[in-house]
Amino acid sequence: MKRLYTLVSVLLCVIMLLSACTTGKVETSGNADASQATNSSNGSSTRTDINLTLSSIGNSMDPHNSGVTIDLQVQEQIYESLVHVDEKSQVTPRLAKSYTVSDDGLVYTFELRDDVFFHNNEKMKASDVVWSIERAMKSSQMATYCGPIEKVEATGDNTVEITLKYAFAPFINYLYMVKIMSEAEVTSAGDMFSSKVTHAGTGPYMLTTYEPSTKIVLNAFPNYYRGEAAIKTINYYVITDSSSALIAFQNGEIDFASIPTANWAEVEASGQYANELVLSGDIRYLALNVGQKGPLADKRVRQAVQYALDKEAIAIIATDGLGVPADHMIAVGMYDGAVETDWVYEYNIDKCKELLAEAGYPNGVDIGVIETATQRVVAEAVQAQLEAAGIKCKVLVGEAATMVVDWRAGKYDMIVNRFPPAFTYDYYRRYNDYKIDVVFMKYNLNKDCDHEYITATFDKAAATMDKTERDAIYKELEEYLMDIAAWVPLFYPQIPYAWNKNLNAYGYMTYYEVYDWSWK
Amino acid sequence: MYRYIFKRLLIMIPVLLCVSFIVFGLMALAPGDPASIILGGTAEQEQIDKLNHEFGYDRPFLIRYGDFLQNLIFNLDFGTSYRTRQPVIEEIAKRTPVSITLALCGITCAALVGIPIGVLSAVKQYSLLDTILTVSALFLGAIPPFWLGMLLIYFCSYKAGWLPSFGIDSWINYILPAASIGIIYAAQQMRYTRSSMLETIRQDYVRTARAKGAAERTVIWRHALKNALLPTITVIGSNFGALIGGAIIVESLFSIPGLGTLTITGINNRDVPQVVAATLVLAIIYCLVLLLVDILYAAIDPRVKAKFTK
Amino acid sequence: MDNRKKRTGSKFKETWRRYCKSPAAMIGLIIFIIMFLVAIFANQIVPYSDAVTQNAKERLMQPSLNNWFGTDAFGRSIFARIVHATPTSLFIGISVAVISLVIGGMIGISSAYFGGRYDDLMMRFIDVLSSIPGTLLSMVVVAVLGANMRNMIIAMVIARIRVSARVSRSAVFGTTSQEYIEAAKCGGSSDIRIMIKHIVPNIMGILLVDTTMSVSTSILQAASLSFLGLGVQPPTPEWGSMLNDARIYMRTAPHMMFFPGFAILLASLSISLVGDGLRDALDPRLKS
Repeated sequence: MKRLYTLVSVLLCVIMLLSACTTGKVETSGNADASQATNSSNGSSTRTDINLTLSSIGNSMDPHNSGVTIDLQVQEQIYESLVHVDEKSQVTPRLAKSYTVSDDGLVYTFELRDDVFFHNNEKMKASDVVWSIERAMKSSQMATYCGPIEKVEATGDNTVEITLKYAFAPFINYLYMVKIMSEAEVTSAGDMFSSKVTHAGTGPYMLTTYEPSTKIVLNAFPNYYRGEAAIKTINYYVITDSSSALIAFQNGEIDFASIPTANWAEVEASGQYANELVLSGDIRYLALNVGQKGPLADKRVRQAVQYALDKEAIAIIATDGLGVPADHMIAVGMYDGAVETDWVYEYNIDKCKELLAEAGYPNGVDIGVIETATQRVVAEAVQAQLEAAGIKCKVLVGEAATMVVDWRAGKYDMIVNRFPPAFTYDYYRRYNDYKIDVVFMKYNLNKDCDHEYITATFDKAAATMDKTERDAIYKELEEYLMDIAAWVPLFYPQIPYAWNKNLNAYGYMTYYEVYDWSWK
Repeated sequence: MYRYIFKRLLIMIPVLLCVSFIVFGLMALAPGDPASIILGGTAEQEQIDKLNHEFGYDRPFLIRYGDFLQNLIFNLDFGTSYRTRQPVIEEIAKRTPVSITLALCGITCAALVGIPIGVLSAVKQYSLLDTILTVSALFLGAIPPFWLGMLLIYFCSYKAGWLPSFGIDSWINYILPAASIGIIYAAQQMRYTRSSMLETIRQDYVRTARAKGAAERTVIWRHALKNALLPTITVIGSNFGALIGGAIIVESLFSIPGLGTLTITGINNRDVPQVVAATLVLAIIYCLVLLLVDILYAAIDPRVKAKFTK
Repeated sequence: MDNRKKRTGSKFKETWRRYCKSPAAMIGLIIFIIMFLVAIFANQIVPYSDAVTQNAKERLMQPSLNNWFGTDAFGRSIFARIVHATPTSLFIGISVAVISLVIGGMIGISSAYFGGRYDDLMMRFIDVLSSIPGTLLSMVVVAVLGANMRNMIIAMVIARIRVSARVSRSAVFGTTSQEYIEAAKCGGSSDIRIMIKHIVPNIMGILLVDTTMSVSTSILQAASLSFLGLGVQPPTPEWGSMLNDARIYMRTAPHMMFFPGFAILLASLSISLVGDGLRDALDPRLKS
């Protein structure tokens, strides 16, 4: 009996060791780089690699079929578009040397560079550009960005013409998301393209290792037309837990990281790292359903909610003091079309109670349920503030998959969510155009909201090519939407970044280019 | 005996069929669809319908299930993931050894520590040692697993720098995660063994053995332990099976790419092929483990053996 | 008639007497009773509003005279939240454990008793249930039914049944000799009577231990479910979700993790001590 017991335990140990050996790869683990990183301040040889972290597993390396930020950030190093648009909406040429727009705003003509190579050393031709854009047009993921495109054709060895269905001023911002790839490389890879190592990009880095659950490695492309990158290797490690990622960073295993807001004070105070706080347009908001058959259908109640919220307190709670209270859904000064308005809602409990009384609720009102999938803390803070102002409500935290279905059908009272950084004010249309049937805000269900006017104004602005005129139209629209008070902007987060003191890098809102970074 | 094993293997097939049907059905009952999640809340209905159609998600549940079965039986193909557009079996094949290793390490650690301590505690019942051990076990068993994991990372990885905190590069990476699991399960193991031993020691045949003058050690190890271990082995087997798919918190804390986090990702993304395939693989492993446990049953307890080989 | 009553009455007294002999069991009982009272009189101890009123200026404060357990990320009093979480967490833990014990026990005991085809079938059914990851079951149950405490309990019970069933089944095999059952059958009692009167008392010890482990596991599992957004809704206080909220502040405000963790520990420890004590006190072997 005892022998059997011993036998079994020995057997288990053997199995365990065998499995561990077969799964363990004895590559350089993150630990090995630790000593290297912490010693580089001694002036030892300059490093050529950089260790970064991904906060979730990768899904796909196909830029025409990716929506997850992690994937897009890695792809940003590998693929490029005809132009590059930075986070201040400045446009710089990339694969296209220059471009012109016809007077009616319908035809964009691009003059391509003639010294661009794909990572498989094949030269880029106009046909690749046309093929790539047409491929993107077929993808559901790219529908927003390719929507305005009527057709694209090569009108010369190095010229490509894109014709739009309608004049659309923000088009060039959207085009930035449509990456150009090698037709030959992608077609030969077939269905496996998005999940294995291929060389279809034109960017400064090419894919060398792709293990989306653990590690992705990029190497500098020698024939990059702007010159080979200073940092030769990018190692992306997947660390799903933010506290573990922070520890890895503080251990020196990671060179650049975004720091959880709870630990920012500690990291900044240590003085050991270069750091930066970046204001992001990734706004957190509270949406009030104008189509609700309850108190929220009344504009005065919605406006009361706007006055009831102490946004500063909410920001402090939700971001450990790193958030900036927001007055507008689209950040002023950050995006094209986002301009100052003549008035904003300030925190004023008296005005709130006044409006409630006017609307027939002098003793407070119950406005329903605040639903959220990912913004639990914000929702909790909002609920407490509303309670304090006499507005009762409950919080429901659920799964995105389940809730989105109801939200798109307009079946909710309130939502707390985040709105991703947009390129332009026009992006806001995706939340306000009643013609898009899955939009959360059903203005057409509320007789006090002129939904036709809203859609028409978005259209008018997009068709206006002159910036000053366009800004004026957007200002009018913003004030109208603010008056309806369906959207309550809460705060913009600031993202804390920290990195190794010997690295020349910078913080970013969504996308970064390792090409611009270097070691001292 | 072999007939019994063969019968059990045969029975696995309807069990697996049931599992696949239940999981498929549950996922169909759950609201939400993969395209909405992939494309986001503001995509147009047309695009969403189009993508769902590409996935074949808009067909009725029974047809989808029938298709899945057909694919599985005739082509040995588990389907294609909605999220990555690649065959689901690839990701699962990569992650299964990882999960198995993690679960084995954790359970072995728990058993090797918990069982002897449980026996010791039972034998020395009512002594100070027993009280200390029991209370320690209770204490450790009530610690939330992620708290323990965080503490281990904090002290062993961050403060002391001994052990890595993420990844699966080499066997060293498994130490902290296995400890997180092992410590908590050791406590549970110890308590089960102890109480089981106590029941057994009280039995008449043990008293008889003692009365016959057998040495205490023989009494304990030869007579009592055999019977006391029966429920314990069940628990070890169950735990192992549960851990392979259930070590989600440890997996996410230590960034270990295992089957647990894969299933959760699948559920969150309504990636039905991935969830069903992962669950089937987990089910197969679990059934095999239980078979092994039952064989051990028979090896240990002749009464059970007699029952099974009638 | 009178004799029977006296015997049952004295049996209870005897058990109680034996129970009181163990200091650990008494301590467990006292702690548990205190927690129970806290649960019932939560509103009298500290008003509920203290548990939910936020104050952005007083976040993450260390324990002090004003706030005995400090404040959390919203500036709420942790002491108030712990007190008001007691009824919620205790209720969840106990209901899940008891319900799954009853259902799982019925399955396991009947399975071991009848044996043969029935045993095979039930065990295969339990296997099917076990093969599906518990979290998947829980997530989908809640997704289909809605996210609230009742559905959370249902989801956790479904996941827990298989453990209770297996444990009770193997307990019957391990501790009750077949001859005993055969003898009872010969006595002419009905199957159910045999199961309840003879088998259950014999395995009561293991069942009790399993149930007490169940309670603490359930309280912890509730924490995991809260993590996935399937638990009690905010701002309802619950020890498990308090632990999760405290996770990111572990390094900067460790007091947030200490108190809810300690509360879970106390609850689990005391319930386990009570279970152990009961097991020792009920042990039929000691009667003779």
